[in-house]
Amino acid sequence: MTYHRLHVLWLIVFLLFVTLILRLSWVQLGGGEKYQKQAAENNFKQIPVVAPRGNIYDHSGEKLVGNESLFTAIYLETDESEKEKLATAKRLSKALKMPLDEVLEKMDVGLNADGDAVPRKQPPYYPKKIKDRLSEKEVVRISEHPKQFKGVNITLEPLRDYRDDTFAVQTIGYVRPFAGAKASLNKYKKAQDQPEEGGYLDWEQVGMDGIEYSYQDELRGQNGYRVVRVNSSGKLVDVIKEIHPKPGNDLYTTLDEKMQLETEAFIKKHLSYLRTQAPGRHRAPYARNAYAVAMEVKTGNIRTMVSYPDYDPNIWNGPVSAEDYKDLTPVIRNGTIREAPYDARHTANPEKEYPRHPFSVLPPGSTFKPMTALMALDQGLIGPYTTFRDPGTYYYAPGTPPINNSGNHNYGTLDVRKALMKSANTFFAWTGSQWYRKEGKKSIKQFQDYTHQFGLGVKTGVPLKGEQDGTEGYVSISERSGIGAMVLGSFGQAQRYTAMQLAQYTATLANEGKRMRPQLVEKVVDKDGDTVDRVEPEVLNRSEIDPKFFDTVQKGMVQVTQPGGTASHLFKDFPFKVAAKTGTSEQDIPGRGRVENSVFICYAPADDPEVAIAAIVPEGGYGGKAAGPIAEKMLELYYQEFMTES
Amino acid sequence: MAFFAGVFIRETGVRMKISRLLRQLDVPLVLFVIALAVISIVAISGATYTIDPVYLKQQIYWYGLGILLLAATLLFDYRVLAQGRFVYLLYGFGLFLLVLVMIPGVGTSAKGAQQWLKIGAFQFQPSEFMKLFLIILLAKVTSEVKRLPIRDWKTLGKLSGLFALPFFLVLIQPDLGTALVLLGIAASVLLVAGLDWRIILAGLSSVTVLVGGVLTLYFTDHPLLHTLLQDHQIERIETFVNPASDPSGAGYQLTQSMIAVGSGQLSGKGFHNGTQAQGKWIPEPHNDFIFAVFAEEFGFIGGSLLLCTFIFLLYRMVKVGLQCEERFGAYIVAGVIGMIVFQVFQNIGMTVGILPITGLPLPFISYGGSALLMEMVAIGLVLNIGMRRNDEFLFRD
Repeated sequence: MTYHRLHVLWLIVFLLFVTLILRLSWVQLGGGEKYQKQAAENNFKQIPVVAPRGNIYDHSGEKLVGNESLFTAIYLETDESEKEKLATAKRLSKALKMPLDEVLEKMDVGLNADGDAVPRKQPPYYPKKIKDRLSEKEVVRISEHPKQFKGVNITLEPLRDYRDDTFAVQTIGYVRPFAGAKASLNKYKKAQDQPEEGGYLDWEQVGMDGIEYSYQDELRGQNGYRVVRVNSSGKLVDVIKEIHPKPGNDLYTTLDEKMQLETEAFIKKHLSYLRTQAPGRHRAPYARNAYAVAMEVKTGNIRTMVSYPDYDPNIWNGPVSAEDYKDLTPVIRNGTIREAPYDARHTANPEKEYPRHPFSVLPPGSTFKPMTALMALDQGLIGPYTTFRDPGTYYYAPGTPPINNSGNHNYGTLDVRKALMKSANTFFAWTGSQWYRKEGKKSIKQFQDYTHQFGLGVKTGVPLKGEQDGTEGYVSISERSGIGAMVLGSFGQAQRYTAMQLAQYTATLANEGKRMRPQLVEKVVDKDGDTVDRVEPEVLNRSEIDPKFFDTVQKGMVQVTQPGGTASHLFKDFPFKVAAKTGTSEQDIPGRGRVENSVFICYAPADDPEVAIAAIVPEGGYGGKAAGPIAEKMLELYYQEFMTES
Repeated sequence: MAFFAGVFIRETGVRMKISRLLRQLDVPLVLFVIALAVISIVAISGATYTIDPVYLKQQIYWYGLGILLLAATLLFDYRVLAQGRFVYLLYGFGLFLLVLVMIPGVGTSAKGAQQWLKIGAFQFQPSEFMKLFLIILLAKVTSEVKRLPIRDWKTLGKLSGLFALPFFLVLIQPDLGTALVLLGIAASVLLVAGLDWRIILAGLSSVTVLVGGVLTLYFTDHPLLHTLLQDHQIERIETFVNPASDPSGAGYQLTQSMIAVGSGQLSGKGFHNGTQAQGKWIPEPHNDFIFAVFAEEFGFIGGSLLLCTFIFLLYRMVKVGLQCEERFGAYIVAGVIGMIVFQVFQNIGMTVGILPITGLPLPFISYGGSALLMEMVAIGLVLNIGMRRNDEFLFRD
């Protein structure tokens, strides 16, 4: 019985499969063309709707970056013949004034201008963007002749709209289409490998640098889409389903619009003043760059950061040529946190000119001396009242080059406060050599550890891409001469730091060793106006140096701005005392000799510090003359914006 | 398992030479399974390469594991399964897991049904394994029936009870598709095992009446319909009857699937070139609607080739069943055939619009671990039965 019943089962199986095959042939062979038509002509297409990026504001709500809605031509591939597609491309090329090969590349229909087959970049169903920022004329032309432009749809697309005043351009950063970003930035390369729902669209603008990059995930919204029915001309006839995009979150930065803008303007004017002075001590013919940071002492909030020269970010709105990139080289990098080259755009051959000038990361020079003083006090090398008879010229070891004070002054009897006030190289060279004599090679490591506690030689933790931690040349010098390293390091000639590092260091001096992370964003707000994230001040580390030593050093720094100090000409009109330190760092440049960079740090008010400022003018000359006035201007602006009732 | 095999061999003193076992291995059956594996990998690649390449890797991995399991299934004589009450133990264990699934926190749900069990990182569907346990159990019980055709109330009662328990446990998950597969399994085993024709006819007519009744209720929009069926089930009937009623809602899946299959025409749009599949128009492209992806990209030629592979596979199984001169083995084969046929027919049937949509994967082709592993074990059992035919032991039976 089993066996004949198995035959019955087999018969049933066979009949069921015959049914399936008949049905399949009916659907695919009989109805195939009908379905083919549906698939191609009366099909549903998903048109992505790009979500607007969040706006960027300053701390008080002044808009720094927004979006504008512009017309974009999207191409949805039709099932026309290749000949017809080529004809459409030709008409588009004429209407949009784009070269034919570029149109075909954007349409990605697998054809080149000669009508030959080329590999596609994307699957056919994927919508392609042909051109954005369409003019009104272009929009009208395409919309009025749908038959001529089969598959082309005009949609509105929110695109980044930057201000024309170059506001903190390197800090804000810029956006580019994802298609290019994924080739150059790891973040997007990874994002492409995991295309889940909400994956990036090829033409979606993504942050490439600055805040736009660091806060990409906040600024980016959630793209929506429309499921539409398109007719045989690839024209939208019916919206079946619409998922609205969710705009990205808005950022309220810590920056202050007025302070930033006026600092930028002042720097521009001031540098031109320095370059055009009559020959003499104040003339600085190569002063073309400046880097300045103002950071709040207690919170780490950055109120202003300037990397000068800057550029108009609207250049990123269109294609950027290799030539454009060359022009951007000296301006695109944020010199306050990383190396940026000399602005040599006015010279015949900028690339040849770059190595003949200092970059933005410079020896801090004498601005490092408060650090040396603190370390020497904490190491017990000197006490607050230890005196030192200035020899005018100091030899730290037999046969070494002499250490002189600026202008070859002899300051007589010095204690640490007066040494800071006068910026006496001899005093600090002496402490450096004493330290080495006491601790030997160990002193190098101790020196390094101390500085790291203040953000020097380590990253400051500012939320920006590409931050550098400077260089610590004294470590390699110590392999040849330990004492030489300690002496050069003690007055800031054997290390290089960024303006951001100097600002954090100054704030840490004012904060008695509490190192705060520099913050650029105060809060993240969603489209309903609800704050979704508020950035709290973050203590990165606390130095264990005794507060009484801080007191000594701070007093010395206040002396700097008092009569007889190296910056006594500055900060005269403030209702509070300012603690400061000037610095003139020297760099030997092959083929040019020695250049002097102007460095300046300060914080104020001296007895209850609120803001710390660092300014650098490469080749600016004397610290109090080139960088000092920038810091003074910034403090004045800070005072107006944050310390007076308005 | 090895333990049982050992006991069995010692008790009967029968053991076949390995060379003979290998000679009797049904090589074409193995080749058809390999062909299905290749089709599965191609189809899953087509379905997911723009979504997530991990599915493809996972499926290859599952196939690797499945082949190991299949090989392991060959190592013991299938007849140990009929010894004592071992298969009741498996069945009881299966029921236990089905109950476990329903406990919130232990079982997890997917697509609205509570059907997954999670142990550590490993997730599986107990209902898949229940299919296999039910086949073996029904084969054992029916093979022990002395009087044929089966029509005595005691046997019928026992069989109904054994079938009803897992059937209703799966039905309330709710997983109508799998419950119907269990019904298909029971029907094939009982058909082959010699259920009285009158009972078969009675069953067939009651199914006809049931389906006809529901459809009548549906078309007359009778209120009783809503007490008998749940809303999503009614929606499925509606979708089936008139897919165009709502192309973006309930009928969406069917409409898109039909467009995909239909537009594939004779030779298909080519690998990775299906506009419906790559445009993400096909829902569950790597799972329930994988056939639509395959038929779109490879056309009628590819689709009928796949169907033919299934027919050949089933034909080899029927052959194994016919050669098996022992009822238990033949009934297992019948159960496995029933299981595969039912799922293939239901899955492809819904894809091409001759059956309503129930969430069932296509055996061997759809992405999925539990189902594939269970199917490979089932194939292993059939091969095992084929290998051990004409055993001297049989002649003594």
